Amino acid sequence: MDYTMKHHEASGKSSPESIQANVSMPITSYYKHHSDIRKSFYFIFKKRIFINFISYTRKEKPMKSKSVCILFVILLAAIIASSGLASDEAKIVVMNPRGIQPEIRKIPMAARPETLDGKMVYIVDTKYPNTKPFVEALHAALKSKYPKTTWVLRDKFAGYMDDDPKLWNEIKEKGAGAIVLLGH
Amino acid sequence: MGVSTVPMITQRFEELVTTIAFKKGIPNMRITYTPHPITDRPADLCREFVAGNNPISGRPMLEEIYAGLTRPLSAADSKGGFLKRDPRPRLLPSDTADNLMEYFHKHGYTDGNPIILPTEEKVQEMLKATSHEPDEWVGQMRPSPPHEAWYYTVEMVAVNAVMADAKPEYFPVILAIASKGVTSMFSSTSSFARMVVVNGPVVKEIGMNTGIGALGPVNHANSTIGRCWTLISKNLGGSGKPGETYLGSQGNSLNYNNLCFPENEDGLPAGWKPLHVQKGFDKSESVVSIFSGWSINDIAWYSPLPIHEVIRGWLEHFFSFGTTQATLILDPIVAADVASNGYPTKETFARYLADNTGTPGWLYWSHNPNALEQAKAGVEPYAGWFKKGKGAVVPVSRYKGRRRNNSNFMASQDNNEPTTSIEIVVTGGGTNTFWSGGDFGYVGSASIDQWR
Repeated sequence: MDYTMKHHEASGKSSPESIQANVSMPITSYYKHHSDIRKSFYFIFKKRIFINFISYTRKEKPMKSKSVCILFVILLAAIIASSGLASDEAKIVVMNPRGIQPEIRKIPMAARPETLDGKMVYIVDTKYPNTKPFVEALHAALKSKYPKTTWVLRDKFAGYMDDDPKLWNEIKEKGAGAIVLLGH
Repeated sequence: MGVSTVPMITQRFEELVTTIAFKKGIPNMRITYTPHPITDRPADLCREFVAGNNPISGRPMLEEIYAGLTRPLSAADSKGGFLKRDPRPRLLPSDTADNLMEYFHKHGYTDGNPIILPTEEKVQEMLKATSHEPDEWVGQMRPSPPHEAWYYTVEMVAVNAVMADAKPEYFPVILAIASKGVTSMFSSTSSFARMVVVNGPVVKEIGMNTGIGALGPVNHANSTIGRCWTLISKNLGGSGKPGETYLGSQGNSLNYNNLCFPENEDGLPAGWKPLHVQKGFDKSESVVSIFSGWSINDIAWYSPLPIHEVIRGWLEHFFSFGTTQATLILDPIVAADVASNGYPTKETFARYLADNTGTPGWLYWSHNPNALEQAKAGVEPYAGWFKKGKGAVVPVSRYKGRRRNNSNFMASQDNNEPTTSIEIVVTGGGTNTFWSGGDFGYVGSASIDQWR
């Protein structure tokens, strides 16, 4: 399975969306470079306090340069160890909860006439409840503004959710265009 | 249709129609928007709307319509082919549990409440509860008829079952619900609700609650199975994105759990059949039955009247969007009282209710404009009913007629035609003579045993 996202420069944002959208590396690597390093430093910080505390309780005298070297090595080991451990513990893989979307076949739009003069255009009212005043106002306004076109107002069969193939065939046969209104 | 067309939609649904136009394969559809709403607006205001601009584009409405019908097509408008969809990886990118939880919430994969993250291990455990293969198709589901259907397998249902914190033993029940292909979040402005009733031996096997609080949040199986249906509807059925694949204006809190409960078969009066037996299944089978509606009333009422008359009175005046169907959820002691009052079966009681309920006048006349016209013209019996005033009950039952048998609208896969549109289910703990009722109609049933 390929979890590598599209190639973009990392944006510096740390949200899951920005990770999905922006990272150019596998997402596991992305996290190794960011959040887990922060965790490692936190771990080291705690470790150093612990070592100092042990030294204090044992009343040991610090051997300056040698001690610093030893401490550095210990810290380095801690960085490497904690980085791997923290990332393994913190991350999990989960399954995609979404279903399968169907493919979409593109439908070419119907050719447009150059003009509607001398032609018939259907205004189809899908009869959403109590919208007739709007439909009638539209019909009247179109007749007034474009008088060379015949504007035919027709109610669709049955309810607004029902199909009306008979009317569609009639429009295809006689009409140069259609306006279909759905209310609310 | 093959003819130059401009659809007109109110501006409130821009997001919806843009999405649907894309999914129907016409991404550049020339839509003209009107102000919202146009329903119930006076004629003067409608003329103003028409003379004004498309509120989305800012262009004059009439000119935009004319241009939409005549402007030449671009090369892209005339082109066929396929539109690109997002890929669907089986696994999501790894992350911390907290980040993944946030990711699921942000992408609308949840119901807003915490979920169990669906690791492969947990999904594998869930899959052990069915003999069906993980890659077997279970069904398809869509938010409402204009929307596309999404498809899903047994494994995909299992992922959602884990998310709902369902136990593996509940999985066959969840698969049976999913197999019906009915979304629990039907996308309509009217905020639909759904209900699922479980019958048969599985109820006791998985410890569903048929007693005190059967409809409430007190039982793990009742709660998680019902919740899972909503997760399935969102993630496998593509529902639940406000404005795009969910339009319920106010929403419906019943969608959190979809009234998931089992029938109390031990509490049925003698002679009253369990729901699944009424629907043609054997009593020994385990079955889910799905209902669709909007609302439910919890009736806590003492009356000197016999309880069947109280229920009749409630049913006569009950009003919501769905006014021609009803489901009664009776406590076992209410069912026993009804039975002892002379109703030896659920069917006889439903028949009594359907035959003896009228319709409040205001509701009858507003739903039957033709009858109102005839009443005003003096045609009987309408004129006589109308003379009694709009507040008087009209002696026409809303529950006698057959339910609308449009499988697309209700997403039903059955062709069930009940003799009344009243269903009766019994559940509850018998702590009082109370009951519930709502406008739910029966959609269909599915065998659970087939998914074991």
